[in-house]
Amino acid sequence: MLDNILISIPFSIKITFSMKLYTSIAIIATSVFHSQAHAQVFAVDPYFSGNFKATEMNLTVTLVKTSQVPLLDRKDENGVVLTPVSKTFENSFTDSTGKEVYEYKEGIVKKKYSNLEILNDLKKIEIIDSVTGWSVVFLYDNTDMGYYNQNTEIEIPESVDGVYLKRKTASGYILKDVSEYVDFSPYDDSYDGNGEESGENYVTAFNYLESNNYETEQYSYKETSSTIGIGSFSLNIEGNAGYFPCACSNTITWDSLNQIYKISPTIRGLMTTFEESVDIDYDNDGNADASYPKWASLDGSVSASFVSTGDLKLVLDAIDYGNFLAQP
Amino acid sequence: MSSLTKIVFLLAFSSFIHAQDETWLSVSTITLGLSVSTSQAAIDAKDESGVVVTPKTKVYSNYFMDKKGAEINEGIATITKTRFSNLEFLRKLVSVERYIGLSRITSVVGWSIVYISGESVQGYYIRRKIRGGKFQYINIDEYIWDDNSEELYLQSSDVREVYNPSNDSYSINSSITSFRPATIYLSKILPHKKVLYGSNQQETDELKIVGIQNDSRNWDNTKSAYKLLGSTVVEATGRYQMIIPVPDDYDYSTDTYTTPAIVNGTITGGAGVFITRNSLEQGLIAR
Repeated sequence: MLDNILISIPFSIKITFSMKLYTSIAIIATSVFHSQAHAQVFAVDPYFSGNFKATEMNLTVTLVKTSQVPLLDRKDENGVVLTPVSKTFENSFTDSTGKEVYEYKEGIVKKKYSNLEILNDLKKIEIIDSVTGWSVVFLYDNTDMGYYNQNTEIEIPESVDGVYLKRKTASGYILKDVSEYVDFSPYDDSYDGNGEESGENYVTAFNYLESNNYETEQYSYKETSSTIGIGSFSLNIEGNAGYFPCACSNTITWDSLNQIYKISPTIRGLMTTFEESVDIDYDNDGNADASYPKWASLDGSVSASFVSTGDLKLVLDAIDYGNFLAQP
Repeated sequence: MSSLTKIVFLLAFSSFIHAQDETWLSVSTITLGLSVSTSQAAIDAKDESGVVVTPKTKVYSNYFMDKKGAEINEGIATITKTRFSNLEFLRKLVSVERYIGLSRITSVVGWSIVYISGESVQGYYIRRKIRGGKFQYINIDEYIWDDNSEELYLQSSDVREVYNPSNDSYSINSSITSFRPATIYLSKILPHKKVLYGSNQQETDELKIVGIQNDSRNWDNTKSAYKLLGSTVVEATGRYQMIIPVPDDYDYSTDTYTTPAIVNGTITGGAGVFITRNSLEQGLIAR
């Protein structure tokens, strides 16, 4: 069990791509040149017809848990190894020549911490009964577009942005919201080095073309972007939350059919440390005779890969009511 | 280093250093392998009809009406990576020092960035060799520093201390490999003219860079000091807002605009060499 693990910040999904992408990306610079026209066009979003979609992505967690372990055989005051043999971090003794000796030795062990370990930890806190069949997915939607649309008759549904567990059933899928425990934020706008919100955390290469002919009512839009910036990932399975911004790269492609962006983010360079107790059993009776508080860490990367895009209402049903989800 | 180990070391250290004629410090050469990424305008500016204006100017976007009456909004930007290595650091250092009226460094020639650690000394310096095999040093802690306020080390260590009461001699064998989150600050020497926004939107010139650090060191009994064997900070990442002047030919309400910049890369420290504290003090150019 990972106790008190911290990687990153409280939940703050920021998949506010859409064309509003530009309002928050380097178009700060654009606004210098075309702020008025830009605002007009992007405030209207005439292409959006209330077609709310959710995109599902497989979340791949590739972390390593590093712990410190004792490497010395425990010795008595004369430097003789005690039986039964047990490990300790340190010994202090006087050797046969009268020299006073202090020795300290510890090593590190590394264990995989991936999706399976996350599932096991969620099982331990009874979020799921068994890990079998569950996968970790990241969902995001295009509800942001509704807020920018001028058609006030469009009812904007609840956003599903977050991390979920998904399990296939005979007739569909079940989704469980675990965003409270696992957070994936490809872009974390709130980072400024001191935990305060202060604007954009990414730079973007973009190429878009929007054509809008009001007379013929023909509209088209295409775009491909890539970004590098700062994202975050957090585990909050038992205890605290922390703040660990890391490098994130992403490619973004506008899916005009579904009116939602396809993304492929990878956050790398994650590292967090947490304290864990290393128990030592001197007499091998199964009970700890000494405990050492030691630092442990998790480090590695987390990425998300596209699975499918489906109707947001179906996804909401599956989340809110535990109904089976026929798609995606 | 664990608290316990540290205590033992301190005890050993304090008694041992008095037996030494010199205090030795480990000097490790630092290599900055950073880049600064920014978004750059990459499309020719066009007029209201979509005709490229001359002289050509790159902009982020154009908004015009084409011949068929369609309103067109187009945009192209690229990510430009600018190297930020020792040379860029030193060049900026020269200009900053000149700007604030100091004359400690007037040229980058011969200077290298080093990290010095040892008894009562720990931090970044630049140094250069002068005649007689001696070195000049400048403390640059105000431009680059580590945040070691939290002891978050994981380590693999092998320590053995032996005290022989018959001749009052003391020896230490110690090798330590550490693994930890790294936090490094850069200040005043960032590329381009810019200001950073920190807590509560207050302006600051400090850039916080986080990364993952590995380093290893061995205790040298003859010098009574740790010698750094090597250090690497990978995935060093930070961001700030650049303040860019608005071109003169654009009508805009302010003189500048801001755009984000991402710093990413590695920072490495080479194997240490020993110097005496006296040689540092003698070669130090005061502020």
